[in-house]
Order: sequence, then C-alpha cells, then structure tokens
Amino acid sequence: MEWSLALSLMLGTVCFFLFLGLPVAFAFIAANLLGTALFIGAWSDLGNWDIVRVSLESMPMEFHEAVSYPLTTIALFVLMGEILLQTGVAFKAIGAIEQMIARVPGRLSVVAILGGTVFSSLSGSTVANTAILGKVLLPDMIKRGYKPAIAMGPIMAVGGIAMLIPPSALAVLLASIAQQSVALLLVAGLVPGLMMALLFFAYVVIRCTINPELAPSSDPDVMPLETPITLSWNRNGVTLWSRRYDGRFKRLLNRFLPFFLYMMPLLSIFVVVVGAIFFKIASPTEAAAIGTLAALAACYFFRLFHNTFTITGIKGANFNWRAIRDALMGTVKINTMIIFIIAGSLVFTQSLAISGATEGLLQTLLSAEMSTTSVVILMILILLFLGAFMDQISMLLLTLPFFLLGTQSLQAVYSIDPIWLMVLILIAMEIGLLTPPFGLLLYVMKGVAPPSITIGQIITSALPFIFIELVVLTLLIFIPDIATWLPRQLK
Amino acid sequence: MNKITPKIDAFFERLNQFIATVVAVSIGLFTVLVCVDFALRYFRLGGVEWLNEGSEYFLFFGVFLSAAWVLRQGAHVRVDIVISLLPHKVAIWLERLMDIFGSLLCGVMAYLGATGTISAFVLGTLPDKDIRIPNWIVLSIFSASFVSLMIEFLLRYHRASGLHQKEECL
Repeated sequence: MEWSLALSLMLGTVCFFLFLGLPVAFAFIAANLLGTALFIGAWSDLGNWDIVRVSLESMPMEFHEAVSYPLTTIALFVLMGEILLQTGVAFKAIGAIEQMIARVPGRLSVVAILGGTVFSSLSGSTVANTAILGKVLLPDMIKRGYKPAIAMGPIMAVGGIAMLIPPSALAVLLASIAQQSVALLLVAGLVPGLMMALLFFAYVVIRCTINPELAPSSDPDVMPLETPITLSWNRNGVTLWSRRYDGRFKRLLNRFLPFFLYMMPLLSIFVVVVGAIFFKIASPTEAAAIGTLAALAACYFFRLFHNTFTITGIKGANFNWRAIRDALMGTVKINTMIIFIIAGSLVFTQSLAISGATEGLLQTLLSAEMSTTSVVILMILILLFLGAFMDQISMLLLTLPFFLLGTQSLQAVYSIDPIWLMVLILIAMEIGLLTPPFGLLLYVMKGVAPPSITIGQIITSALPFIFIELVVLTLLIFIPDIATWLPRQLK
Repeated sequence: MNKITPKIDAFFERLNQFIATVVAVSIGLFTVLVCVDFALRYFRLGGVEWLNEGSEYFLFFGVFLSAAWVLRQGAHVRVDIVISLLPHKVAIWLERLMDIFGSLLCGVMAYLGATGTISAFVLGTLPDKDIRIPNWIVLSIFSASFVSLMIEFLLRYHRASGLHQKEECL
C-alpha cells in the first residue's frame, strides 16, 4: 500500500471517530485494530487471515508493555495538584495575590496571570483553567468596569505559562511519551515560562497605565485593610489566648500576611520539586512523590489556621479525609484517562511505522531539502493548525510519531535537540488553542462569558497575548539557549 | 428488560465505584512507598527493590480496571466541536451511535484479550521481569476491563435513550 494512503487511512480513522465524539482513547483503539490488521498483520500485502489473527491477539500484551515506570510520575504530579485544589489552597492563593497587588494597574488581569499560572500548572489543564477562572474572575472584572479587551486575554493566555513551569503535567506527559528526560524538560521550561509571564505582566501594566479606562482602579478592599488584626489560639472552640493589633502597620500586615501565609507553602513545594530534580537529589517520580507529601504538609499547616490558630483575614484550609479522598478519586480519573490514551497511541505509532507512512513522509520532507529551522517551523505550523480543533493530548499523540519518536522521526533525522523541540512543541500547542477562528479556548471562554460578550471581542482580547507568545516562540527558535542553557547546567 | 436494566446499572455503578476507590487507595500507598524507598536509599539503608516493576503492574491494573468508572464519569477526554454544532436531535442520535460503536469496539478488544489469556495460560508464558506475574493474569485483567467498558457503553446508550424519550414526552 502507498505510504500516503496508509497515512491518510490511519490519521483519517482517528480524526473521523474523534469528530464523531468517540472518546480519544477509543478513537485510537479503533485505528489500532485497523492498523494492526492491515499493516502489522500484513493483511494489505499478504491477505493471510491467520497472520492477521495472531497479530491482533498479540495486541493486548502491547498495551501492557506500553505502561512503563516513568508514566507513574504523571499520577503523582496529578495527585499533588489535586490535593491543593480540593482543599481550596490554590483558590486562596489567588485571593492573597489580589490583596497583595492592590495598587498595580489592571490588578485583576495581573491576578488572572499569576493566579492562573498557579492554578493551571496544578490542574494540568488550560481548558479547565479557562473555564474556572472565566467563571470566577470574569464576572467580577466586568462588574468593576474592566473592558473585555483586557479582562479575557490573560485568563485564556495564562495556560502557555503553566505548560512550561513545573509541575506541568503536560510537560511530564510529553517527555514520558517521547522517552526523554522529564527532569531536563521541566527545568528547560523555567526560563521561557518566566519570560512569558513577565511579558504578559508588562503588557497588562503598560496598557492599563496608558489607558486607565481599560481597567478602572477601584479599592474595594480598603475596609478590610483597616481592620485590626486579631491572633487567637483556640482549642475545642474555646479561645485560650488572644492578641489584637491596631497599630500603624496594620494595613501593611493585612496586605502581606495572607500572601505570605498562602504563597510561601506553595512556593516551598515548587522549590522542593524543582530543587530535588535540578540538584539530582531525586528522580522526577521521587520528586513528585515528595512534592505530594509536601502538599499534604502544606494543607495540614493551613488547617491549623482553620480552627486552632485564627488570624483576621486568614481562613485556613478545609483539610480533612474527605478532601484527601476527593483528591485521590480525582487523580484516578485524570490518570486513567491519560494513561489509557497513551497505551492506545503507542500501538498506533507502531502501525504507522510498519505501514511505511512515517518513513514515506520523512523521505518526502528530505527530498524537499529543507533546513532544520524550516522543519521546526513546519512542525510548529502543524501544531498551530491542529490546536484549532483538538486538545493537547490528542495533538501530541497524533504528531509525536513523526516529530519525536524513534530513529525515523524528524527530530532524529535532523538531529534537533529534543529538549528544545519539546519546549517549542509545548508553546506551539498552547498558541494553537488560542488561534482564531477555531481555537478551543476561545470557545470555552465564549461558553462561560456573559452572553453579551461576542466571539469577536474574545478573539480581539486574545490577539495581543498570541502575539507575545509568538514573540517568545520566535526568540526560542533563533536563540535555543533560552531553553537549553539551564538543562545544560543540570547535565 | 426495562425493570432489570436500572438494577444492573445501579449494581455496575457500585462495583465500579468500589474498584475506583481501591485504585485510589493504591495510588496513595504507592506515593508513600516511593517516599519510603527514596528515604531508605538516601540514608543508605537499602530500598524497596520491587517498586519499579511493581509500580508498572500497579499502574496497568489500576488504569485498566478503573477505565469503566472513568467512562461513567464522562472523564475520557473527547472532541465535541462537531457534535456541538449539530442540531440537538442529530447530536443525540450520533452520541447513541458512538455508544453502540464503542461497545462493539470494546467487545472485540475483550475477545482478543480472552483468546490471548487462554493461549498464555495454556503455554504458561511469563514476562521477562524480576516480578514474574504470569501473562494470563495480566491479560485477564485486560479482558475484564474491556468487558466492563462494553457494558458501560451499552448502559450509556440505555441512559441516553431514556433521556431522549423523556425529552420527546416533554
């Protein structure tokens, strides 16, 4: 069979069932059955049913072999995020950031950037992040007179940062599937992620300073800042000890104390995870497990402020067995969904390779005598296109056999640095989700925004952030050191 | 049939909920074990040697056994951009068609798993690992998983039909 026909058949089968609404994992399984029968069982060449049957019967064992130890890292990172989400600590951190930066122009947009980064790197889903922050923050922003142009863009764009900054579940997933170092990729994403965050922050502040009407300054939290601070120690509902402070530093304390108490444990978890990986104290799996225990410790710390110690303005966390149970069940849900797709897609990759589709596509590209940069740009364009109608996991699994997996991949043939390429892939996927006219996040935002907001307004608000992400992407293409310098230090 | 199906549905929900709870507990235990192993090796006191291979089995069993529960929760990610553009009635019919297709697909996978299980049992094949759980046990979990998924797809179809009938009555 011609490689182009084989390629169309395999990709076509997946896309056909995907668009009909079959869950991604099952669309891949359908393509696997077809690919195993046609190519691995050589039905298309030999037409011998006995060989096809043997190939099909060996398929279940391939699923088992696809599930390897590095994939356990995903479950642990997901659990860490779930614990912080289910106990409400992540939401309280967003509130603390808001109070801290009360005087910054476009405060709520900046909160969306900082809080969204915390939230979506923990949840691992930019779609969920857009939906939740769109529901929680957007109505408040519009009520306070924020123009849609500055209100919605940061909420949608912030996923780009979360994809890069540890503990990005998608980065772990990408490195695991590509059989590359999770540690190096997590470290490589740090500088580009921080760069993107700084550019977003600068854009919001500069634009709101030039045009204050975009984000009217309001000080709804002036009253809480004037509240005297009471610190109490309680046991069984009885106050054993209490002090009240009404001095001249109360405004300062009211502003900084929640930030310090809510953000420091989260930052400690971040430092523990990244530090353990960076200084080679622990493997990514071990770092994720330690991070999970650190998250539990942080939630226990916040629980103390729920009843035992009460401070004005600090609500503590609702950390109990129920929250742990919900976090574990949430982890089962996300982990099973991801690993099930991965297991299915690895057989898909084999079928593509045996059918000759991977080799055929590669030879076509080689005959075009493209430069390495052109090949990288081509890969990015493909991801930008796919991002218009697919989620990140589906995009990754469809393209990785050609981009990154094995000796016949574009990365191997063109000797592209895999860590650099993976950082580019992460950013490109995120931009793809934001790119008009069909970008998935645009429509998620349309779904949660007030009915008066048009899709045109949503697209307009996303454009400056797409531009910033493209700037970072271009910088990374031409100055790979931005992504590769830090991992080199780790090596 | 209409009286029995809700009972089967309720039983199946409880069963899957129980399995998911066991898997959730095992994830918690695994997290603790990874930390214990790390601490033991860090302080040069040995380590949990079976952890790497054990976790591969744990992950495989956990993922495949809880797949039906995840399907029931609607948490298997899917692309619904086409369905959301279709008229409501057409979208419902397409959903039901995909439920039927999904159950057939899982039926085929369960059959392949079952034949593989029988072959592995007869031949007594073992994996090339230190922890040698016979392949037939691994494959029987695979088959059981797809049987559960097949049933869940059929129950989804049944639930969607009930919903559709209610909507038509209204």
